[in-house]
Amino acid sequence: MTADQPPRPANIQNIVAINQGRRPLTMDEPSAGRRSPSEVLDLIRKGRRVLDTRSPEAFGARHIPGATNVQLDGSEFEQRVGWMLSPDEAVVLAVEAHEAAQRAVRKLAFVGLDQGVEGYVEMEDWESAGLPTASLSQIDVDQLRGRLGRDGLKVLDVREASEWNRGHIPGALHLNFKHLPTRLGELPLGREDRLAVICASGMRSSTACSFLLRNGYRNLLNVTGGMRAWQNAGHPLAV
Amino acid sequence: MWFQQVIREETGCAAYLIGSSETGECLVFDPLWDMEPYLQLAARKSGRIAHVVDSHSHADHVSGARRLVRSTGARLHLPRRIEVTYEASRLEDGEKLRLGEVEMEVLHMPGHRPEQINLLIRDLSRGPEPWCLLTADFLLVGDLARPDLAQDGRVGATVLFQEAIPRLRALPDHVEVYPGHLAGST
Repeated sequence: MTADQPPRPANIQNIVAINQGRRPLTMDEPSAGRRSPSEVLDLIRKGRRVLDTRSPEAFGARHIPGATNVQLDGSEFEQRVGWMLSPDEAVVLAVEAHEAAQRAVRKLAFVGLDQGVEGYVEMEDWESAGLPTASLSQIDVDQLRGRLGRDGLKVLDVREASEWNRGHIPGALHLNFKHLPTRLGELPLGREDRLAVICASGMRSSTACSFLLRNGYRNLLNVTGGMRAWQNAGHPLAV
Repeated sequence: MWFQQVIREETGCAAYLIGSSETGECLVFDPLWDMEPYLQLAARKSGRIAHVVDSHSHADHVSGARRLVRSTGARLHLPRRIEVTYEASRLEDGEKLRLGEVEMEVLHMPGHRPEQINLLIRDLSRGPEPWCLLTADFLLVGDLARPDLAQDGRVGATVLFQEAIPRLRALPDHVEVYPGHLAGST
């Protein structure tokens, strides 16, 4: 009866504990302080995670190596972040500007993940300081179609099972991005594999790519436009 | 009676503000962390938030109940079976809260979580029949709430079907149903 339920949200134990009074509730408006690039570099060396809340395009162009990308202005920011961050993990936000950092920390308060935020860094500051950045290649669905079956390219679809069942790229692998932190090992993938990652629009796939990059995968492509663009272009579907 | 559904689109959560137009007293049901929407609504009606209710220990969002209580001096009410470390008055099955002409009856609806309650609302200035049911996470749009988050799914589903659904079916057909989620959440 309950076997077809979607995955159990990773952050729920934390939220229930806050609501039951076993973990502290944020009573006052939270805020994030601006950090200099050298401070952030120091925090990263101490193991802090970087949460980059910019768009997949901006993340793809340049980001702090190891950062996790969940777009603030995309849909379901609060829910998606909960699958990628541990509630006990300290994080630094990577943003365009001060205002985005404050909105992010406030949204995180709705799901009890604001207390781990140790400030933010503006990406312009990071780049001006000459600190290292990484990039994530983006391809569109026509380019993907042309490269299918060449150079051993594999496709990973990270949508919900219900979306996958309605149609997917023939031969693609499937793992919901929510399961990446716990079930990545089940996929027949190696860190050197060429891998195109796709979702419905390109946001969840960017989150998935950021997770894979952090875990040592090197040859990743984020598919912009996602399965919506793939279908609109009339490319082949398997069900 | 005032009745206002308060939706937060980003997470698909729905809270409710119910007030008495006779006394100005308001009750907020399942408030989210950000209390501004409820404070503004009450102020627009020149009302006063006097009661705050959490229907169960939410697992998808942080409750704003204690923030709202601190800000307004309202009384916090929780289901009798909820497990919390802080003080609150407890609502028993069948108990009635009264704000002027508005009567709210507590219905225990286990299944999603063991403590889950609903409020059955009557506007006694219109008549004695119930007008609507705030179903929180028990009954959603086109679906029942997940029984497998707080307990073993079979245990949750069994009480959901044996205890909660018969209580729902016993209500008159005209009772309107207002859930705690619209889309995009559990």
